Amino acid sequence: MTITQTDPVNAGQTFRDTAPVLRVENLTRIFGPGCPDCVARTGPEAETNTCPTCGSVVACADVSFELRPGRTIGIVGESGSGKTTALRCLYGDLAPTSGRAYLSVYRDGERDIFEADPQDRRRIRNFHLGMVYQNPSQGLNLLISSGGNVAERLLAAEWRKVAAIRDRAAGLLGRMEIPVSRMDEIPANFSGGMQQRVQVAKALANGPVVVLLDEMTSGLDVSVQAGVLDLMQDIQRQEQVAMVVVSHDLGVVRLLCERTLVMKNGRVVEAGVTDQILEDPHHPYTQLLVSSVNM
Amino acid sequence: MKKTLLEVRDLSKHFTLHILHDKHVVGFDDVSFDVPEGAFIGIAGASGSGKSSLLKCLYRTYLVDGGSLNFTTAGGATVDLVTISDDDVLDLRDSELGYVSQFLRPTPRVPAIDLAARPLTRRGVPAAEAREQVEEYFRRLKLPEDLWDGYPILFSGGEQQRVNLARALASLPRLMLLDEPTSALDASLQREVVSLLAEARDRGTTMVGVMHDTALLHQLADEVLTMQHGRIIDRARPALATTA
Repeated sequence: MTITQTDPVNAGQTFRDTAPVLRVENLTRIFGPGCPDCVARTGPEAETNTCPTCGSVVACADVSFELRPGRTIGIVGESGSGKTTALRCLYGDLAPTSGRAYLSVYRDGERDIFEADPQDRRRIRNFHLGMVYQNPSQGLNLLISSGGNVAERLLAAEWRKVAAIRDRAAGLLGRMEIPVSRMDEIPANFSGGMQQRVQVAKALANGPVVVLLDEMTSGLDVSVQAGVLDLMQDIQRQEQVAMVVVSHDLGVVRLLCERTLVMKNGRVVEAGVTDQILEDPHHPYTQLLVSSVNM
Repeated sequence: MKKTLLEVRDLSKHFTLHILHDKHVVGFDDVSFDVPEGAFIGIAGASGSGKSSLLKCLYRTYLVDGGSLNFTTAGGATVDLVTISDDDVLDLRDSELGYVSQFLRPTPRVPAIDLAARPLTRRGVPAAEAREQVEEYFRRLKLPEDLWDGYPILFSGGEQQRVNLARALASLPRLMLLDEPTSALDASLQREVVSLLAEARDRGTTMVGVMHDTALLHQLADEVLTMQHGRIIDRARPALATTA
């Protein structure tokens, strides 16, 4: 039998578009008064986030990474390692103490989004980013319909035509397997898994370049988690949207993320291609983390 | 004179296991060899001799501790696989590097045929066309048709291995890394795999293959490197030996 097949890839590019959609440099967030010792006296070596000098909490410090179009990066680490804080600074829920971040779609990636004026900052959030929170009540208004939740996001991105908004909302909710018959129902009536799927629909509504996902499956039981993760993989395949996935679950990261950052006590202790992090972890904490789970 | 696709120079890999009181384990040391374009380089040796570790270092599943891996891309550029960024490694995996592991770790709830077609669809081949190419290999590897839409996580070791091989062969990367690709297959399937790999090579795929079975390896390889305790102790050219 002969196999009709193209020759080994010669056509096409070896390296895809190498310009990052998101570049984060030395992102730091300190809760408390802060002092010159804060960063030096905290971190994985000190085994604490709390500055012994002034008592401030260094939630994250010197977090840097790049994200290319359509790629997914995971941030893993235990509770309190600073993962969520870093994500919230990027989305604009929190102001960083220091550090810079650049988005390709904002002034050609040449201006720090943390320095943007409030109007630009809002625009970046409404037009170019999406966020899925661990707790659906943070990302959704549970008392307006699921369609209304998506519409709200579209209105913020200056969609004005009611019919177009309604179509887009129905399309996205349908893709997230929310029956059209339930579009007008309030998410408060939905199960946890359904609420998270409405959040994803909402986060994708404005066609963002980067979606930030914070422990999106942590509150769900295993079989429901699996369904949500399957949908996320479909989204990854079909949309050219880059993602930052924060999770304490290495299984989630293995499934969704091509690269992984490992955080401990507010610092990135290791970064690599996900299979390298899982099969050849270098940092003692990563080795402990990987050897603690059965995968 | 064939061009060299990959130059492995002074490669070494050690492990420090912090959770076992910083225990130090040597993977391999000072490994150097050339992989000419279109060649099959076989790696033999006992379990624990460092063969799989070496292969994983070529794919960056393991990080090396020293040495270089100069790889010539389809576009003619030379890049060191040791030092390029993780993002560049991911791009290379999508476009030119393939890896057939001994044990498939299938993505849950993805049908065998879609799993095997994924490297092709990632490159933009339409789904139907990709599935067709995969089906040809499934047929030749005698994977029962009623399994094609099944979840490989439920398959036997030999069935998983065939999914894995079909996935790599259908996408035909420029450099294919094979780690014991026939360990769970019976003799007749092994023969089929040997002829499929030979066909892939004829179409231009370069291969580095780790195999226990030295007889199989000698049928395929242009050069066989034998490893022991993390070092290359022997280099043989079976093809030359038989024609001499």
